[in-house]
Amino acid sequence: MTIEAETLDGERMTLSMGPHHPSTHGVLRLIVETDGEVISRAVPDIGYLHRAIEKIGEKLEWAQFVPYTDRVDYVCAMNANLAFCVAAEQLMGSALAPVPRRGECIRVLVAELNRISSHLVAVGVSAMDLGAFTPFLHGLAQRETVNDIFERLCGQRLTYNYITIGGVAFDLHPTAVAEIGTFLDELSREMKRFSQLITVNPIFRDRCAKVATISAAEAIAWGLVGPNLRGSGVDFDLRRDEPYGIYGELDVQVPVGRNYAGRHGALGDSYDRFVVRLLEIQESIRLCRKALELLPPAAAKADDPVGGWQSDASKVLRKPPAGEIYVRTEAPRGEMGYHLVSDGSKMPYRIKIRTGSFAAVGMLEYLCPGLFMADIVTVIGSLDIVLPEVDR
Amino acid sequence: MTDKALSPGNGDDGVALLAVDEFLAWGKEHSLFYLLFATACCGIELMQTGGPRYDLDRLGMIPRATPRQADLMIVAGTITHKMASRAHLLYQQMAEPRWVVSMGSCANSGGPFSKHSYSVLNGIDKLIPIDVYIPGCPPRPEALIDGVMALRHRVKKYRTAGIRDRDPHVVAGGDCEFGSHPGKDS
Amino acid sequence: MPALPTADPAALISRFPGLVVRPDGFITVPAGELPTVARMVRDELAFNQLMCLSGVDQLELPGAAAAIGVRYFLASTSRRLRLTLSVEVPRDDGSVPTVSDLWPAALFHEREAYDLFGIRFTGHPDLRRLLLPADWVGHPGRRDYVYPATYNGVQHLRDGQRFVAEKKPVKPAAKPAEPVKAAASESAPPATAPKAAP
Ligand code: SF4
Repeated sequence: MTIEAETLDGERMTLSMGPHHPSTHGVLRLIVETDGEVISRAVPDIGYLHRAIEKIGEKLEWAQFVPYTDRVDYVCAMNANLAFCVAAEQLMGSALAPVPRRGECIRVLVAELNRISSHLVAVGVSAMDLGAFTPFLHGLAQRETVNDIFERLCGQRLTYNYITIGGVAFDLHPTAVAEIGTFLDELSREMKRFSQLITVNPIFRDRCAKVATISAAEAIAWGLVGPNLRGSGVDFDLRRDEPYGIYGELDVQVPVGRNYAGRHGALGDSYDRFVVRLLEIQESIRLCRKALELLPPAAAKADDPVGGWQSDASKVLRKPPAGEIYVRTEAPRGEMGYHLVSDGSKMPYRIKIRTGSFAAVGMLEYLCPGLFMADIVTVIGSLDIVLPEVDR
Repeated sequence: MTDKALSPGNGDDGVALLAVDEFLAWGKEHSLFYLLFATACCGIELMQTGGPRYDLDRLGMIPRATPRQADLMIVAGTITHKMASRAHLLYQQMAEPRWVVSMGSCANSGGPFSKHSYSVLNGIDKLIPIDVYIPGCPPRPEALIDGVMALRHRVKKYRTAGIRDRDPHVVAGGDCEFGSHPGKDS
Repeated sequence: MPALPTADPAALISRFPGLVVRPDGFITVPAGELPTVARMVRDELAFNQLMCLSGVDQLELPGAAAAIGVRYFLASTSRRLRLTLSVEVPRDDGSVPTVSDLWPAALFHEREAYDLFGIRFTGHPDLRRLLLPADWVGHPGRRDYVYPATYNGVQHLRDGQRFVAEKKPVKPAAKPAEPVKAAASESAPPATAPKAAP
């Protein structure tokens, strides 16, 4: 697919793609130098959504920062909540009572549901950018169901502020278990339809196969994480390899890329990353079912160690001990790491958020040369770049 | 949806009689093409409003990628200082008469970032005039549709009577004229 | 549950006596030695993954030198270990050798650290601001950063609003001037007179 830009010797044209462009998934700007249809250079220009969330964290108390983590990655706000709360809990260490068992199960449940809805948007949008609008609508329809479940759970459709330091904000609502079960059944059926519609579609496959192939070594060196890393064949998932919460008990199966496009493709191409996301949806369905099985019956008290959902609420940590910590968790776009620095006061001293999309955008300049202009949207879609994560 | 403009007589025979400019105004009112200007979280809600459940298309609203073809700019999401000049440019590229809906607290006033952030523009109304404000973080799709319905009344007034309201309309909770709360019915 | 164990620093210390192991396991590296230490860590100890590179302004951090700290969070995918290097540079005009030749992931992280903290990474091929516009003044990550009153002719705050951080110096005298009305005009951005910093 790729042609060396150097072999063609035409006049270079510089294009500014974005920050307002429908297929850059937000406000990414790429300054593209093309030679005819072939890209010779693509320099990402980011920061159009830099909202200073890290700096804001220094001006709030620890627990007050949780709503801002929603805005760090609004496509999967639950996972962003979870990442911060897991990091803050580790920083607080033994000063905080452990999260009750039911609370941990609810966390896995909502995090995996949100992973599903995030991946649905990711695969849907990357198909839409390549001209297939219908799968996107199918994905959104399912996402609406997840939003409904979350709305009954915490009152918000998008920015949940549900997972808190020490547990979750509320217990599951009475119909939640049944609703989630129904949704998972429906989703399994829907995913088959989805795959028939787009995954095995030869036009879509050929647009993705062998585009922006990333080898395993490159992926690790450039700091790619999550499905992008696994798409290159690296078998690494923090839920299994550095388990947090109750993920250690769940026996997470990790799908990795293995040249799904067959003779058309190569290991680590855009199609592999797309398929890995679809397989992860299947895995999340399984994890949700398993978390539902493990869910202990509800207790009346929030801080009941088994049936509660929040560790000792009266002692929710105002002041963690002074220290510095880096904790990473697996969000849909890969490792979401929080570098927290505490000076022992009630406010964080410094928060740094490391996200999967940040690494992916950093790699664009390396990936794009030699590709066709039309492949840029394939690359952006297959890396699943979400801009608030990049800019924070 | 019955529309009075289309049935000035009794309208039983399926024939509507009306002046041509009224007919054109009716068309304009019911085909507000909007500029897909989504920067942040509110943009996801805008996307879902255009999605299968809320389906903005049924209101004749079709997203346009270029400002030249859009009547309406829905500013959905945070506008940072870096983005502000671009947003202003996009507005200027739209053809008159142009309408602007400010969706979400960020576009209204900077929202959760107004007080502590150094890089967020506290309200897009510093740069471009707003017709409808929709509060919420993010607003529900129903609120967005409600704002659009309010805007339609203005479009109609402008097209038929030539009056363009200057003071912005603010969507308030509780007076939703359109749609229900699908998430809350259990 | 600290997931991956931290690497045993003994192998490093024996080679580079200038390193200091902090109680939390972070290894403080003098800025000059960073390239050799980092290369050894990557090539011999197999830390192939730069998880995160983060800057910390230690100005108000108790028990730390008033410098800018740079933290390199490393992990090894093959050995399942993690390691943190820490470099401290002076707040004014400090510079650190780049590690982007070892881990290309650092290219963006270093640009971000330069943008927010003003750390110069010598040898970085393209050290420009990453998140903020090129003409932004100051490095907002620093603790003593003063928020701008205007950018590009647009007043930052709404009328009557103030940054929470700047509430403390309450000056009772000098009544503020009549607030400029933020009524937006149809075509041009309103020429709001830049108010004095609140
Ligand atoms: S108003 Fe809230 S939801 Fe909308 S863009 Fe701002 S932070 Fe995001």
